[in-house]
Amino acid sequence: MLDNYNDNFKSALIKKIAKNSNTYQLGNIGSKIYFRKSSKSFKLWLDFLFYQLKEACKKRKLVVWTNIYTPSELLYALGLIPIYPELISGVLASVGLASYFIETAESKFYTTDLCSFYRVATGLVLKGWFPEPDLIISSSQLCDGSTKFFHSISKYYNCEHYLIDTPYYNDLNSQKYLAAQLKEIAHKIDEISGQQLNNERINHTFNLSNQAREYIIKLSKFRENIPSPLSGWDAMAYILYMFFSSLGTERGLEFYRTLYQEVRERVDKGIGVIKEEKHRILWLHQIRPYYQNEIIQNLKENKAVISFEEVSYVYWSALDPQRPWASLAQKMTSNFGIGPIERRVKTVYDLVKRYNIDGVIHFSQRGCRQSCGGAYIIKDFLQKKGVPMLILDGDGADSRNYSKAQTRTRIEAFLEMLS
Amino acid sequence: MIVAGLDIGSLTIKAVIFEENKIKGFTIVPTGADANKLTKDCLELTLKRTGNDFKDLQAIVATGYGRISVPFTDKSITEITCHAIGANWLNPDTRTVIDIGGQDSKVISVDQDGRVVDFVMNDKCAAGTGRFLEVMANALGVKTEELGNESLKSKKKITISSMCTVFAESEVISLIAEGCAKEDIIRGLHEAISNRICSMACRLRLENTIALTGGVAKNIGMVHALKKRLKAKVYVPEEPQIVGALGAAIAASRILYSE
Repeated sequence: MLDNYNDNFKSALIKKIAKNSNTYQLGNIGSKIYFRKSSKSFKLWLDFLFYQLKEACKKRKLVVWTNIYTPSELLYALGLIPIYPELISGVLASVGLASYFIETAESKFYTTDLCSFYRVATGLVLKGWFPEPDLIISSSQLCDGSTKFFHSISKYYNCEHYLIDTPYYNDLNSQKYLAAQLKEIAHKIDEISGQQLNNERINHTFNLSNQAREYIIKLSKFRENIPSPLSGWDAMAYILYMFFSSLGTERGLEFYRTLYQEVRERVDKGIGVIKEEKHRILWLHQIRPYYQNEIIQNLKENKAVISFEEVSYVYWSALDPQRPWASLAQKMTSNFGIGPIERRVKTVYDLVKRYNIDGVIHFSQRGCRQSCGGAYIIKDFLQKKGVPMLILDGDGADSRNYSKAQTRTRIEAFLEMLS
Repeated sequence: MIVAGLDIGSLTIKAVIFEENKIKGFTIVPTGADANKLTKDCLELTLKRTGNDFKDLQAIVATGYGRISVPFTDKSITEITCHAIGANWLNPDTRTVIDIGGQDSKVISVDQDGRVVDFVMNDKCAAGTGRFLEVMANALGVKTEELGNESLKSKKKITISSMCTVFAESEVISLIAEGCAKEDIIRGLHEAISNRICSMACRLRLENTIALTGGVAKNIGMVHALKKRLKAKVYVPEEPQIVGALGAAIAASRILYSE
């Protein structure tokens, strides 16, 4: 949906940004950039995005910079305001502003081989667009670029960086190791903020997260429907933003409740993303290209729809407020992306069967090792099961690495192969 | 039943006229700024050669990078599918197609009916493409079409380590300055491309027979280097450059049959 309103959004945002260059103003005007046709869930996302930025600028609470696989429930229970540089980079790419920040980062010797999302984020830091962090809490889970980014950012702002070291295996020892780290961080934050983390706050946050999780599970069930009621293209845009950053908040719960109702309505009325659904696609890797591109049009023209994407899969059990640290640790180690590739392969194949998938597209983001590394093993496995897979090399945020014609040929040839 | 296949590539435009399961005629012209006009001219020239008229054509299918923008076609199909169809028609034993074109190279796995089973394409850069060879030929002061025969004269092995077109060009210039023989440099270039193509091809299950298509397959030196590296049964069509357009023409005739 973001793409549908891309031009309006872009021009409105650029205009406003030109007038008010600091982020607080951005937060203020955020709620006013509404589009007549956009869905309620989209507006709720936009509200959430700008609310977070605004709150971070007010500095009434500690501002923490973090990454997507740090459990947001931990941060909200601790009363922190999180800022997600990689998610904001994606938003900026979708409104055509990423290149400016990428060039800024590159002018300071950040190589083009680094993940483009973190190059955008680095540019944002250098230009002073972000609300400054009081501290950084990041997880080493999956993304190795983020650890290095946050390390250098902690030096830049001279603030503490708590790194949650995520182990490779999903076993009891790993969970204990992780739980101990989470507990230690929580105590340190308590000391800094002077607030006592109590059971009530943990209860509240975990309950909100669990309720949102229930809605996400129901949404996932709806998406088994033919025709597909929700496009993976949207699921990997504003919905993904909420998936990683809003669990444990009232706004997050409201967002998922609303989205659930919207999708339910579409299912009840039998409305699909496209009129005639010929190919159901599963999209692999957490992201897609966010800058202006023709991929979704290419798919649509060939009657293909992204029925599901691996990033939306709920891999964790409901959180238990009675054992907060162990429970959060379990959420982290349950991620099928960490550990041996067989875990991811199994999940992917389960999703292929569950969503009646005709073909799989693996988006291999440049500079993203954890995803690209296993692509061929997944492809090989799926091929033996008779499921074709396309490895689509590309870039999520740096449009300079996008070739319209080359991408089109790959996608069309793949869909011709499915026909 | 007369049909046409058009392959609008990045360096050349190809037209094939196909009638009753036979190639009636074909034309290859260089691509220019006005690809639409050139495509039309190319088609008309071919029709003139075969003694036909535009209105005799019952279906036209376009392929290649310019396939979308040509207005007078019935359908557009990617060059991957078209090369598979074309190679299968020329040699039904084809199970793998290596197409090295002007701006990209592709390896395609094909089944016995000429259907694409899997494919891989080169990365974003020009390494391992016709354009790469053009740039190198220019640096060496040799015509592109002479590269093949020149390389066969080589007596000494030279390894070209750069695959970036710009880096490789400067490497070639340095080698010339060092007094290396042109033919040895050209052979080194062919081997470097062949290594790159083969490592890409190995991502698929390479099965015999391997058909080499696209303009670069006209380069005898390149074919030698690929054969040496692939150690497989290699088939080079008489006119490898028109295989995509041929596949498009066959697809056009199939459209008519299915109707």
